[in-house]
Amino acid sequence: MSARSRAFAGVLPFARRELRSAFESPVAYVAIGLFVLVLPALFFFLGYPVGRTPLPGLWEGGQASLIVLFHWLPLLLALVVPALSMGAWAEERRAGTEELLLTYPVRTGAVVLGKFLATWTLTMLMVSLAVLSAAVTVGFLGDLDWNTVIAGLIGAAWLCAGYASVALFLSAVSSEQLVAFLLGALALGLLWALPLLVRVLPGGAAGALEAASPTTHFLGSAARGVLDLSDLVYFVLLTALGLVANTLAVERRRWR
Amino acid sequence: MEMKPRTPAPLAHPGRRVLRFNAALTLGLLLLIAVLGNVLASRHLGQRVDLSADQLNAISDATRRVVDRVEDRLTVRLFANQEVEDGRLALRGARIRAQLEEILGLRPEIFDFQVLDPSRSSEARRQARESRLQPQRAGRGGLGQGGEEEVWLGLVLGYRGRTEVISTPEPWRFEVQVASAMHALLSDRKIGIGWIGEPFEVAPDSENAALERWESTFSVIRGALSRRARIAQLPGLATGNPVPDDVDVIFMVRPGALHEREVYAIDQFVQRGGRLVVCLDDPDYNLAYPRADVAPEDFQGSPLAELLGSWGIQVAAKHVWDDAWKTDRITLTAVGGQLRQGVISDPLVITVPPEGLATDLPPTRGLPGVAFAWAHPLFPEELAPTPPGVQRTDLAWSSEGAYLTDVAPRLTTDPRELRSLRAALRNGRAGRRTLAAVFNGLFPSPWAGKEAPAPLDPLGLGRAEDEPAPLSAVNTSQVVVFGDADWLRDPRPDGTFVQAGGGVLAVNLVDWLTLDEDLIGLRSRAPRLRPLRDFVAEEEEALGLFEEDVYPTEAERIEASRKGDLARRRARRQQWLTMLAPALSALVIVALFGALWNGLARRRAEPAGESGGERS
Repeated sequence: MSARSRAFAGVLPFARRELRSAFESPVAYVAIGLFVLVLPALFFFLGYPVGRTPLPGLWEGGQASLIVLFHWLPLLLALVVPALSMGAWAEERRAGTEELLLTYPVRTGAVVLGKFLATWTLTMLMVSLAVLSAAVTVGFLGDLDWNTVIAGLIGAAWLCAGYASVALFLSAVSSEQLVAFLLGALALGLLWALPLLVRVLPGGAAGALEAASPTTHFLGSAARGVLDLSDLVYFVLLTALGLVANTLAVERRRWR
Repeated sequence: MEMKPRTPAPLAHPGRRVLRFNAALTLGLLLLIAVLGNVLASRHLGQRVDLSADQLNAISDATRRVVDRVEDRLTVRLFANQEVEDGRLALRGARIRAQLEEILGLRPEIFDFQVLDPSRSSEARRQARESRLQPQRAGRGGLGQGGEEEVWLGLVLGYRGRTEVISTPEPWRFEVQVASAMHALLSDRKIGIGWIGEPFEVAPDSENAALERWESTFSVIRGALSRRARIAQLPGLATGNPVPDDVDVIFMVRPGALHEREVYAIDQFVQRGGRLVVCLDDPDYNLAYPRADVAPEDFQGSPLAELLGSWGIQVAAKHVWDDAWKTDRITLTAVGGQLRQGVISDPLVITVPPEGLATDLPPTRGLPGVAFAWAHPLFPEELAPTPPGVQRTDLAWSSEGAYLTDVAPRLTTDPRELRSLRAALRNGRAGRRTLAAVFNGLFPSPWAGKEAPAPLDPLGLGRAEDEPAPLSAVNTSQVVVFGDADWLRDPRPDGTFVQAGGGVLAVNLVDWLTLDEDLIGLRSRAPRLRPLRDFVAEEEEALGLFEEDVYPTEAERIEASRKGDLARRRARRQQWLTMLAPALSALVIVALFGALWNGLARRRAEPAGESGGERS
């Protein structure tokens, strides 16, 4: 077994374990069900009334495009991802299984990565179902550009990875599930809202804030059908930062 | 001396403070790496793939071609503040600069790029003012700061002693702005367009003032063309003047009774290689604007008809009736001394979608649609063969279900009349009708081997003796013929001709005919319209609600209202079904997956439980 294989040993079993427990509880099904209904409903009827130029809903706009649906993703995921990941560490702690988990002969990083993979998979499953069901509707109604849908889903995968790593870190530093959810939603909500502050901030700060926001990196390119290498680098760095912070937070408790 | 054995120091558990410090240090370093990595990536990793069908987010081939044509150094001066307090304007400047650098990066060796800040340098301010750039005044950004700041953002391009200014760069169309400016710098001279036929402006008629206000001028298309070319009417052709040499394209728009000598001048222009666009719309047959008093002579049998006929171009007198591509428009009908407004779906006003336009020809490629009104079809090639050396390509056509209708004595706005007309037409043969075609090649002159027709000579000066012999089939040329002129008209308040298709098509034609295909490539980078299915219209069509009746009887009104309600109810049901079916399918899949997963998990758990029970 190579050093790299040893370092990542246990990632998949942990991911499987997390996914299994998620699919055995009703929470995941309720979350997926709500997301699959709410996201398209907002897209069909409400549009996106946020920001300087509100976007009309599907029926009002009359164009076969998913751009409005993609606009909702960063905000909705800022609420849903913390809900899915809040129990990842906080629940282990409450149930007293964290101690046991940390005594396994695997690296902490592998456990963190396993939990991350499970959350990411679950989130992407939810997003894919919601986006594809809306895309099928729009594709039936008009000439939908499916390439843009694919690019949007790839961008959504990057966005979900970044969000999941941040939310898991906040779950690791929280003692309660509710606190983990509130902290996660607050942090991701702030990241989402950064571009809204552009108008009230001076030029340099506005540029920095915009560059720091996952919303800009997602809506500026992938949601429009463009895959940009600099966006990928941003999301990889954001994900890595969250995962390392998560590992350090768990490690700290292991040494207590 | 007794030697004591050295005991090794005990392994120290790292203190909590050290752990915290290490964790904070690692996180801080990682955050720094993330920020730096992000900054470096945004500045130096420009690689991106545009997967969208419209390709609006990648540099177009047209822009690359324009940049490739630059031979000398091209100076690009960007006038912009180094620091802008208003966040929104700062971001706009950053986006403009990023796009500009991407374009300049195509061939960095040919560009001299300078960034000047007029807010800091008086010399830069002077240069900006000389180039007629103006700053934008913006409220100072930042919390708690007041006042205003001058925000400069403009571009001056210089090439071989000439300059082009982009005074208001817009991020959403900046590439087109820069490429158009470069293209203008590379062009030796402005294109010349000659205009024959319908005057630019129609003088208001006192008797028909209300109608006149509705009627067309060609000011919109003239404005669009004049940005690209010099455009002028061509006087004196009938008295023997030739078409001037600096005219590249002639637009003949609804030509009336042309003198034979005028037609000869046009023929000789084509023989010299000049390009011709003919928009035939016999005024006698133009029901939208009855001008029988203006042009009493029929087009059929005129010198122009004979010239075009000799090139295999014949336009039928009948109109194209197309139920598939009909257009909604507002009608005003005088009822009891008052104008009543109604809406009809007029099959004589056809909005030709992309499938009715030649996608392999640059002028029509990428157009969302073009509206034609009371169009005359071109004779098919079997009935009007082109002479040897001339090729014909259709440019625009009707749907397969179009009929030909006779010229009605007045504009039909009565839906019942439209219905009965349609019923009568269905006894005829439906088919695809050509609305416009391009003819390309060596055009034979009808005056070949003959003497040129005599010019008008009102002053009795006599004919010039040194008049050259008529040319025939000397240079290759192109003639584009439309069986309608309304597609060029200004938008009307009745909802017809509001599409940009006509204007863009005209400019595209000029660019294509003068070999400026690069600009066509730039213009077609507009997002394609992707309209949704109109369930209400489909249901109304299915229920026979063809159009709003402006003369309904009470019974008809009640029946129409009932059918309208039914159509809307059915449409709403269709909408809900379309929205819910995929989402519910997704939920069913998830539910089935969950049931299967948990069922299998339970089945796996049961034997384990039973065996556990036995063991216990």
